[in-house]
Amino acid sequence: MENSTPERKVAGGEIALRSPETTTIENVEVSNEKVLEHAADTKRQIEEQVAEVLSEAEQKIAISAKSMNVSPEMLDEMSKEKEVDGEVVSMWSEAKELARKAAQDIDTVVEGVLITPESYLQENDKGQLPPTPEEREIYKQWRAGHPENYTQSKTEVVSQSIEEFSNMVANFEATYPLEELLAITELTPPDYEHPLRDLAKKALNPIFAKLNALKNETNIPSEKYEELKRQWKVLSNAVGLVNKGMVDHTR
Amino acid sequence: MTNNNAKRKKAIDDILVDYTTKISTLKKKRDSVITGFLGILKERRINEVRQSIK
Repeated sequence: MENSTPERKVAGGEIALRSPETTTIENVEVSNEKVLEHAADTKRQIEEQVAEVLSEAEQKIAISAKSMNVSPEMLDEMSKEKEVDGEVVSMWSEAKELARKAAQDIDTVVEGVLITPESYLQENDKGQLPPTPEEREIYKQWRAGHPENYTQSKTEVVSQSIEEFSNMVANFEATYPLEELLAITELTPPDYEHPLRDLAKKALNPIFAKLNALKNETNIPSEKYEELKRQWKVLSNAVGLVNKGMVDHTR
Repeated sequence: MTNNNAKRKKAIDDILVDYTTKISTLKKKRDSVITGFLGILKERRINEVRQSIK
């Protein structure tokens, strides 16, 4: 490995360049894949919290109204009169906006994993790169000095990534039948586990990472990206979000 | 070498903690609205029962 490691003067000193392989090995403690999985899991947790704002309110009101023996008509009339639904929905919207910002912040953190010199993608295409801006810059310069190795065009990279994404979606559908996932509507506490759903949920992570990589690292046309995002949403909805033991396949 | 991905993972955790704190505040506000509404509903229901007894 050392023989192939190029060196370059940076900020007045000589430092050893790391090849991608070396970077990956040195960074094995928390891999890029793990970071991406963690990001996807966290986003899902955030989405679940958003859903709770509304569902818990509905439950609290329904349980109390029942205990007071209030008729549905009276409850409906009072809800409209006091505009309580509107207030709760307004808070739900606020929660959604907070979730959107949190997701953006997560994307920014993940960008540190995903943003790569275009040339690096051509060779590796796993979204892995030297982890610090300084190392990325060095790597970029090194790559610029070796153009003979990187002849693939940007369009080819996008096409290849799209094809890989489509294959991942097809594999997912073949391994985890969507009808079976959609048929899971209720989970049992305390763990809310389901063998098929749990595996499918985990299998969503690399697909999500690939979609993110396509968005952040390539010049994919927005219509094409939206089309792929819809494909992702179908899979994500098939797995669904768990709220109080119920699996919501509609969000 | 510093494990930058560990830092990224931690940063994501921090975002979740921050979000959960904000949502918790929002939920308290929501619960306060619901409590107020249920109080009025209870009062209305008691009046309804009283009227039916008369």
